[in-house]
Amino acid sequence: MNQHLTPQEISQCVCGEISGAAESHARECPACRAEIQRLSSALRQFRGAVHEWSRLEGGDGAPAGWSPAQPRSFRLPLMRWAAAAALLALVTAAPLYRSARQRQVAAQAARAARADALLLQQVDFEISRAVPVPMEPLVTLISQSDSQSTASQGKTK
Amino acid sequence: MEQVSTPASVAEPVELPVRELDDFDSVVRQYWPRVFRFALVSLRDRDAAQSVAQDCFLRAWRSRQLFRGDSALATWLMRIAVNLVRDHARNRRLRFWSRAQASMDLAAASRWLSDGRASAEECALRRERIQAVWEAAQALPQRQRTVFLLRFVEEMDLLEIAAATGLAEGTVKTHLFRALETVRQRFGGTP
Repeated sequence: MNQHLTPQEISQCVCGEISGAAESHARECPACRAEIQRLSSALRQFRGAVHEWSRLEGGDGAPAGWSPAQPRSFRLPLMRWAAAAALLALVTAAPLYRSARQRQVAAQAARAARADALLLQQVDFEISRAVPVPMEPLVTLISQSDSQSTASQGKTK
Repeated sequence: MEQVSTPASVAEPVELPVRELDDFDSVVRQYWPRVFRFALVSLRDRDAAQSVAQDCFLRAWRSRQLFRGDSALATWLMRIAVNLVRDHARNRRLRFWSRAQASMDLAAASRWLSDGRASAEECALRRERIQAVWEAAQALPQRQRTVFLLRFVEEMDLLEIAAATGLAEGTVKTHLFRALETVRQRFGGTP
């Protein structure tokens, strides 16, 4: 057999499923032998890497405490349910929080308005005074003396 | 031909007699790595692989009375695993929130490849080859990929694969050779 192996024959060789002339060609032809070895070697390395990857991912054994005879571990579904419940709670709580926050802001605004009104009242009261506070006794005195003089004038008349 | 040793932790399990199915904890201990590994490399999702492995052993435990030993216990378990992986992959396609699929941890694989004897160039070459096989395997149609992984990761023979997948032996061969050809082309191989 002078021709090189076909792709199918190389695959058969790698799987150990070849016989006859193709097998003897694979033994004698350096190019075909190298091709088979290259593919076989890559597949062995792939297998080793997958085994190592699986081991690193914790595939050496079942999770601690898990047994098919026991009720099934619902770790994953439980985690998903917990995540869904948290999301639902968030979605429900958001409008409630917003409404509570709005009420709080409104109450603050009302308190501020009341304080402003009180302040304005005080300002108005201060402005409406006829004389400053220190002069008020004098005004009282004047008003008393005025009333006394008016009374005496009435008597003399 | 270079020799790549298989890690001791992944040594092939010893086949248990049928009556040993009664000691199911031993069955789980012995075959869990194999079932988990097949699910992991097929689904590329650790959590999904764990879920499939749990389901596989749960189903096997529930129907252990039906197992008559017509096939090897490992083959029977792998058949359950193959069906679960197929169902899981099918369901995942329907999920719009399907999570991103993980890639093989090549950094971890690299640690395994650095066996102390290989040079840095050799390690890089091996890593490239592994990556090429991994990518080619992911691109395969589902049946071809299953057959390919059972043959080259789990080292099952054609009859075992036929029993695990429910395919005829000839069909298994066809899928396997096509898958290998795809991988070989990925390598830029020439006959």
